[in-house]
Amino acid sequence: MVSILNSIDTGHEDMVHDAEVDYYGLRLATCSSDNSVKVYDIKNGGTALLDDLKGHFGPVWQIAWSHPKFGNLLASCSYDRKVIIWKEQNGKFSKYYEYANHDSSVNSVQFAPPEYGLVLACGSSDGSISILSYISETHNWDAKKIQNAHAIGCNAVSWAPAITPMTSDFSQSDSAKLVKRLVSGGCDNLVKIWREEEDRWVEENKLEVHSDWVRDVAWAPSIGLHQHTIASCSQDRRVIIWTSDDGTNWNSTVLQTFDDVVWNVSWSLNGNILAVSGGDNKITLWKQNLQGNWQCVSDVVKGQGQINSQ
Amino acid sequence: MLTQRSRRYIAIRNLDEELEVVQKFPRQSKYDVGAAEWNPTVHKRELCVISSNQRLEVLTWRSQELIQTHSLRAHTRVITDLNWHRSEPNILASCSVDTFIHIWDLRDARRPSASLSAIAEASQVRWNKISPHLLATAHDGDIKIWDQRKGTAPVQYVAAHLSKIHGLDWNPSVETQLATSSQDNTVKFFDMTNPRRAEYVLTTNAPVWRARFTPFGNGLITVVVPQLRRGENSLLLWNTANRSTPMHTFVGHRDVVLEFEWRKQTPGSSDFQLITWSKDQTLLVWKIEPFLQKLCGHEPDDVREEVAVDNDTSEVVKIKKKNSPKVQPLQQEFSLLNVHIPNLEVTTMDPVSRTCTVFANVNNFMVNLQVTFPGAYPHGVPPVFQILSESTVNESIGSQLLQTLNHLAQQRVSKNRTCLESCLRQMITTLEQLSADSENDRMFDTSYVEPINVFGGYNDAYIPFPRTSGGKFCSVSILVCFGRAPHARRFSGKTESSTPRALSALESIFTKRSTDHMTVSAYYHQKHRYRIKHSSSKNVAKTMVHVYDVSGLLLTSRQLAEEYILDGDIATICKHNAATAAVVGRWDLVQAWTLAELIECSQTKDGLWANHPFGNKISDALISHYAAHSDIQMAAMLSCIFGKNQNNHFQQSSLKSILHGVRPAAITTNHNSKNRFFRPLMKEGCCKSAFLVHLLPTTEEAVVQAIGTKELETALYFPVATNVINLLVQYENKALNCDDSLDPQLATIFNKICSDSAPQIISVPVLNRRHKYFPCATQNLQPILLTCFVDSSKDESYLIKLAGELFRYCQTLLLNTMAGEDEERRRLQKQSLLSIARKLFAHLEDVNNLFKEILSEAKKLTNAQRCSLFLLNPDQVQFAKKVFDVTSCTKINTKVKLARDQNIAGYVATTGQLLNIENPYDHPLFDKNVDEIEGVKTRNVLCFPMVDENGVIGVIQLCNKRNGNFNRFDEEVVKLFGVYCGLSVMHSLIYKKAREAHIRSKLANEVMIYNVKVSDILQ
Repeated sequence: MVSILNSIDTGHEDMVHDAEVDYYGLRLATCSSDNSVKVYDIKNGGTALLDDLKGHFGPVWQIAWSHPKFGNLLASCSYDRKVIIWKEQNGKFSKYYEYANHDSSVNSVQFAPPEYGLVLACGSSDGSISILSYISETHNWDAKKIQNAHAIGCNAVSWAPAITPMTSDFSQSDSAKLVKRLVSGGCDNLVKIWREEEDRWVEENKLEVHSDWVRDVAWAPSIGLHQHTIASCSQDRRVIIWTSDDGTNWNSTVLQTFDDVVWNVSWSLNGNILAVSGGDNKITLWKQNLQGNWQCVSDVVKGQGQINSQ
Repeated sequence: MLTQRSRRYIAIRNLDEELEVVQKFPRQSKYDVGAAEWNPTVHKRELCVISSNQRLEVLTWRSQELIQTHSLRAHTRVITDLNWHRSEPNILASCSVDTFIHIWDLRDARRPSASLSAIAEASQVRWNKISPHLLATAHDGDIKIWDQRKGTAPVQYVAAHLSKIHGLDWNPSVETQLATSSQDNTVKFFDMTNPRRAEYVLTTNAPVWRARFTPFGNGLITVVVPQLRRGENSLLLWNTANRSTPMHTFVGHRDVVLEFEWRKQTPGSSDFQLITWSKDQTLLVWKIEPFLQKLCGHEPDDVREEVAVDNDTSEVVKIKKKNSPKVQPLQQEFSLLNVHIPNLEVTTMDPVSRTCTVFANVNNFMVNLQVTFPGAYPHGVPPVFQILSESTVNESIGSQLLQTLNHLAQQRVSKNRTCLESCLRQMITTLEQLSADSENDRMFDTSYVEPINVFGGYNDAYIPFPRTSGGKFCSVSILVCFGRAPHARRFSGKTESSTPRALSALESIFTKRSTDHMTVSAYYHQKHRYRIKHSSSKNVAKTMVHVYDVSGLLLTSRQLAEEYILDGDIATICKHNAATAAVVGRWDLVQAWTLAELIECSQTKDGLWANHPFGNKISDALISHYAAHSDIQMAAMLSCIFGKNQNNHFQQSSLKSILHGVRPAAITTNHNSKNRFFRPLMKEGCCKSAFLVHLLPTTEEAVVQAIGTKELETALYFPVATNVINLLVQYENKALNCDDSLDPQLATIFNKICSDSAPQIISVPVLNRRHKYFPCATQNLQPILLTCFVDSSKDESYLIKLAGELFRYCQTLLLNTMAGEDEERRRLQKQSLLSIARKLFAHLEDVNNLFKEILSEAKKLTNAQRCSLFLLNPDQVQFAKKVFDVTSCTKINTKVKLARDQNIAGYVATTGQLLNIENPYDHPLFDKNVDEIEGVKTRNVLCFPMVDENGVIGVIQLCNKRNGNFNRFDEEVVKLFGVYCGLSVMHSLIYKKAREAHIRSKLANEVMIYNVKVSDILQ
């Protein structure tokens, strides 16, 4: 069911903290505690190093590829409090924009769905979330900041898919505008949902079940159904699946309590498989069965390069 | 002397004796110490008061012992704050959650000397530093000022903040000034003589825990709320005269500052010392440098050397000490400075006055910079940069430069590193950038190049421990996995068994191990590293990233997408797609495709199985099953297949909504409710307007009763020949083309209805299959209606379906309604005729009256303006007539010659046929002279005969129907009316004749009797 396409020795001198493949599945970017970001060409099983991006002066925590319609952009965030957006030209990356307006380590970056334009959200340990929007008319970046989004610090941000809210009244469906939403998790043990209202970001919801720092959040992609799904994982070793039919009332289901801290959750494109990984160095894949229960469908043991299908 | 308190101990530290050990006094109490304060007066300085829940304990420091001398009990709930009187040694104030503020006199400690009731709980209490009577308390966001001389009610009430006030402080030099620090990120200064508005406001970027005036100048120290736990620059010095930016940041604590206090000045000394106590359990004493005092507007007398005392006074064993440098560090730094920096010239370096001046010349920018090194430099205290007057930079560039330099210096000295050389190099870089910017006229982010590759910053306790493994779904079907190599076992710290929470965990483990590499990999490779200690330390296991193709898990398949088809006949599609699924090995999909084919292509006796209630449900269930399990591919394919078929059947929902709208019509049979058709019809058909044309083959007419939702006052009638109507049969399931090919009779209808504009009309004939309501129908199929949509946005086929489906269900209802209406109308007509007949026969005795009555009834019946009656002269049947015209109740009796071929009445009289003429001027029989004589214009004419059993006896001519022309119903009714008139007139005439005859015979009789009598007499 699962086959390995590439195995890349990244050559990072320290721990790898994040890896992501671009929209077309052609480029792999990795970032590491050695302060560098590396980009590989993985087309047709290749492993060629394309570029080694040096620009951060601290461990790089997370990277994110933009949608290709904005060009090949890569965002990285680091302990050095900076967010750098890199742009590729002829296989080489150069610094396109640098954002240094956070007071502490920036832990999470993610590009918004392309429907909203070129927009980037950054969550930082200074407790705030920055939303950087590219203004194409002036070629400038406009930064908005949600101050004190999470007391102590924000650990993760994730955008909601861009879908128009469906109403039963057909006459309104045309005029309904896309509303930007994002979810964030932080050291206050909370998962918060934010909505853009005119020029401001307002807290729409506060989900309170985790008993320790929330390490990662992921809003599931939409496949056209009315339901919203968010996964969050925490230092409390639990992964919680949040679902809502109307966007205001959220129900929580504990996916599983793991043996160690869980720090990464990721949804597949069609929103039905969740990849979970944590301090125990294992990656597991979870899927909802017909009864609505979550089952582990696969176990990826790191380093051995194999997935044990069940 | 200082106290530190915890639940178990009170620790006392004498600040003057540097080496003295901390004295700790155990306490026996289950409560923490809330607040503690030494007596500020000289006489009683051995006194210390602490609060413990509801109680105040006064302790005396005597011969190295701490003895409790008083215990003050009056508060009923926990004490929040206490304060010694600034000058009176025995007076003390305390406030509590119980809302009371008690003032105690230690000379009589049994009860408070005064109690102030504040209603709200107080969080802070402060004696005025100058006036002995004033006292301020903070209650949430409000301040109350009390004057002991003025009773127990507050003398002032200040609504200071909207958020909670954390700290209060009186200005030591201005009696009436008070500073409040609040959760709302501001410090406000109030003048008690005018407390309405804050004198001024100082805004910071975080909630302020305490704000205290400096004992010199007009400075202020602020500290952020400790619970926030972030921002290393939490201890700030401000100048109240310049509130935009802090003057100085005290850097040194590794954690948030919990409390700070000014040390009492030793007599004869001009030193100011700030004592701060932090969560990291260190106590720091800061000497306020003269330059800082200057910054706050204070001119110190002399300059002294600084003392930094660093200690750890808790019971925790950990003690850290900073190495005090043996060599004069500044001198060393100067001597090591590499002065060969391009574009820069070091002009003076003076380790004695601790200054250094440099001159930089970059791209026309000439900067003279003076760097002054405070005594504590480089231990947490950065140098002060000053641009001298000979410089050629404007203010904004200068301030940017200074900001950059200060920032960098702060970074370095916070780690106790020297910063001069890096600052100077940075200055050149910044100036180059700034000059480039000013040329390009754009702002550039001035970044300083300072590697921070070692963990251990102040915020690391709040930065999450880095993730070292993860799986991310990317692109369409790619899963990227990374993680630690299998042999990279986590180093298990003695305290934690699972992965630590924050980055600071690294520090705590590695400081003990005295490892210089405080990195995440070191954490995991600890054991490994020991084993290969002497091999290359760079050999951090291979960091592999694996890219997986997980399309097998995702249900959607690229191969299927390429092979599936969607064009053509449903059965073929299903078969082909089932075969495709079989090739890929998706047997579950093969089943679904087979089922789909069954649903869509099998017939039941009622038609397609898909239309069967069960068939419908199963298709819905199939789609939602695949959608719920994220097999979007299959869900979408099925939707397309079922949707294809849906096209052949009208959408259930819209039909339902129309039928719902129509339903009340069936109940009321009120013909108004027929219009209920139109609203749903217009909505579903997405058109501006809609109308129904009823086709009546019996009368060869087409009727339009309403257009859109507006009902016409009088229905529009159009003549349509039966053969034209019957021809519409060929338009079954088609729409009429409203173009030149349209039958002219039908074209008139549309032209008439849409006279003003030329809209797009789509007209759908509705055919009745079985209904025999119209007996003339020769075929089984009978057109009964034209459903017309005006300017519809939907396509023709949709409208055909809409109309077809609607009237499949509704035509019976509609026809019955129409029939019902017709019957109702006839009933009313008959009733009115009956009453007319009764009236007419009541006037039989006088023909003239009868005529009058007939004329008025005829006008009433048809709503005509004028009416004339022509009575045929029975003697001269063909020609001579007697005219009886009543226009305005005046009676004109004239004789008119009625010629058969010359005027309308003549024609009617001779043929006995009714004439209904619109636009009489176009009619050959119309005599225009009549209008000229009477001075009116005739618009329309309805002329009908009065008949008796022998034939026509007269003609009634009605002219100018009010609003509109005479219609079919008028004709119908006047025909009957003519019969009644004929009968009554005939009877009246016979009666008249009979009466005349009777009179005559009576006269004859009389004459005869008379003659007889006369002859008798004569005989």
